[in-house]
Amino acid sequence: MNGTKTPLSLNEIRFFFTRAAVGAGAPFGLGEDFANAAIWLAGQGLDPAELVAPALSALAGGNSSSRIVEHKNGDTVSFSGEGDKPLSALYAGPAIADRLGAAAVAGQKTTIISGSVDQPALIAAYIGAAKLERGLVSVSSAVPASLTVEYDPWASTPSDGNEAKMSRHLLEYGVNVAAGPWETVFDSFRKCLVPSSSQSREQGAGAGLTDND
Amino acid sequence: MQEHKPDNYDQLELRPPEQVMKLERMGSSFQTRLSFMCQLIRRMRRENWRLERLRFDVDDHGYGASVYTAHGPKRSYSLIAFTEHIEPEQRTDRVIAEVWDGTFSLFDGIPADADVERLRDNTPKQEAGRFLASELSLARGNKSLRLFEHVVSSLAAGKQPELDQLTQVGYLMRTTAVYGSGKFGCADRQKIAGRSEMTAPFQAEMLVVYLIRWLTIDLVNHVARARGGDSAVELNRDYARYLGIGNSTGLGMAPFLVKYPMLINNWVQARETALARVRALGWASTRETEMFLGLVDKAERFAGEWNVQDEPQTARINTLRDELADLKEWCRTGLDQTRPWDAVVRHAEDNYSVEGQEFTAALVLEPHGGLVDDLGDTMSAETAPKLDPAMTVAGLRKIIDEYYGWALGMDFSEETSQQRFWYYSEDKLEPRLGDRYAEPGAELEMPVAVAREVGLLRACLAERNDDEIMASFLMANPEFRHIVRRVQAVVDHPYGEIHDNLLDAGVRPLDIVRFKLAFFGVSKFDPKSDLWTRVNMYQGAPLPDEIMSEEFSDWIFPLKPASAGSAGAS
Repeated sequence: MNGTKTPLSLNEIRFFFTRAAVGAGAPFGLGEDFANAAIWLAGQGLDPAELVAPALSALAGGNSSSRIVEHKNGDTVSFSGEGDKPLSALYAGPAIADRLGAAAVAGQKTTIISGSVDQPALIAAYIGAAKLERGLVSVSSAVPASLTVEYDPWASTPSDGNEAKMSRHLLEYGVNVAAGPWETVFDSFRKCLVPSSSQSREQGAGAGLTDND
Repeated sequence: MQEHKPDNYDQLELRPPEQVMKLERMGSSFQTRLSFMCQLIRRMRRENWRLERLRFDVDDHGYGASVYTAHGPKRSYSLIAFTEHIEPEQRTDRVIAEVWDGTFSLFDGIPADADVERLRDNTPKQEAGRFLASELSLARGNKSLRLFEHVVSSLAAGKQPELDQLTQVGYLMRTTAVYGSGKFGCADRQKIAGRSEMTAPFQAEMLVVYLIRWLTIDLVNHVARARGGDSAVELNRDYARYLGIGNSTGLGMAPFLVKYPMLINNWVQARETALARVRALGWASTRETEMFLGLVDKAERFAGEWNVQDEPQTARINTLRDELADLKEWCRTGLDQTRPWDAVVRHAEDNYSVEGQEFTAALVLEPHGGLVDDLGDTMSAETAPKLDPAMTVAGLRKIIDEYYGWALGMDFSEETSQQRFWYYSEDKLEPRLGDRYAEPGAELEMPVAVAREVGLLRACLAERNDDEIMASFLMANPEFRHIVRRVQAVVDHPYGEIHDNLLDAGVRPLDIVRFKLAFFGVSKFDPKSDLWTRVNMYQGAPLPDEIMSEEFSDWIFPLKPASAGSAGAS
């Protein structure tokens, strides 16, 4: 069953998912990238709510690490979470995408090995949403929930035109989200709303509670 | 004499962001010919749009469903309107309203009956309804009860309404929200951004308001006829043209200007470029001089008719009236010099209030459509700031020091400097302004504290190595991701920041709201408090069957029409 009576627009994805990330404890800037990743997922024909909900729940529940521990070995970088916790994709995704973006500018091959991530599929979404200007990214997983991301800025990426077609489809028909995962996203979003009081209702905005001229 | 055209002009320096992006000046903005409503009307005229009322299924009280369609050269757009009775105690202009006198959707094309029925179930619910990508905009409005009833009863009795009552209010209905860009399932901006008629910002929303205006005139005529029968007359055309659509605009519009720095930059850059082009002109043609003198005269009368209850705004208007009188006098000889338009602007800057300066800047653009109208196409922004993860700490520090001096000088240790916080209420997501020290919720504030965040970022960067790249810095300091992205964008978008602290105890959201509304093209700002204002949209604009007429193309700064007495329609 669809989570909303009509499909979500991309702007709604952006609005709700950004703040859902904030509601789960991430800073606003990470929320923005989270929303971009969700839109990228939708552009692949996937249900973004279904894929992001586990990451939101893990972060909000303190079951994933927002702190990234980094180790470097030549051109290979390893990321892991704090203690035994898996990395939060909301934090690891932008960090990985940023490293690839910097490597693209420097024209440098890069390998990033990520330890366990709470939602590995989301990492690919962050990389996709980053829209690297050149090169080829391959993502593999030898160990469940862990990832190896290899980036070659000099390899070419074939384009099949599907992205443009899917974008047009989304703009015409919106994004369907499953009820359960959407509820997770929306519940997280709601944490960004300030409860209303009679004082804020009367004084917090402009016009009066009745306007009859 | 040669007309001034874009391919044979120079350009003086643009007024800098530190001058034009201060709240005091933003809050003194006026409509210009680059305003979005003006662009729409010009386009409709240039492209010979045809406006048609397809459906008007309303009862004798004006309640029911209507469809008004605008046919452009390539596409049609239809306003689907639902009007209903509501009780006075239910009528509010706030976001938290649940019912309205009129609710509206802009449909992409011509709706089938099934579309109208689907929207009948949803449009009156507004935010509680759901919409499809076939809907480009969602809006609602409330009648000016006082004026609506007066007009109807006058027309029903065979006479025109009292002109003073008409001009005191200026509209039969005021919109209280006009949504677009993907809200509630409506079409995203990207769906229509590539259409030439939608290139300028908010064209769908501006079209909605224009068509609602038409509906309101039809409604008073219809209800009057139902009430008065053969005795009823139609509203005098000059009176109808004078009526715009009101709007109650609250502080909810303000965070938008912080959220979209690239878009705001493009608006201001276009306006300042237009001004710079005009100021560079070496001489004034006879046509331009005559037009300008006529315009100043009209502006003086317009200001004379602009009356509000708000005392600070009344004082500003009184000063403006004196300044326009001075401008008229100055123009007798002042335009007869090299670079006359630059001289006008300098005279205003040296002698007038901020409101007078901005009014003068708007006036000098008006005779120069051939030189500046092309800038209308540069005012949109279809992308968001993109993070540069390779930028170094040193590079970012340099940008902050160069572009954010206005922020770095602020002292956030003072309580009053962070007194306010902006937030979304759980109450229908209404944007509100709170007192950080007296109300809960500040930890959930919207990210509009640009000055404070830049200061914090700069302090953190002082401790880092010059060569560290943003990818590394932000992994260690993710809380700065939003502000870093924003700061990086300012280099190419210098007008994207409001050079003031939006958390300050003395902040006036009205200044931000007025700035945005001026770009929309509204007139007659009527502040009701520091948090909200009533305004008028399309007042004086040509009626639908007058769009093609040269006679009504000069509708900026509309004036009170001549009295029609108690005569019937003309």
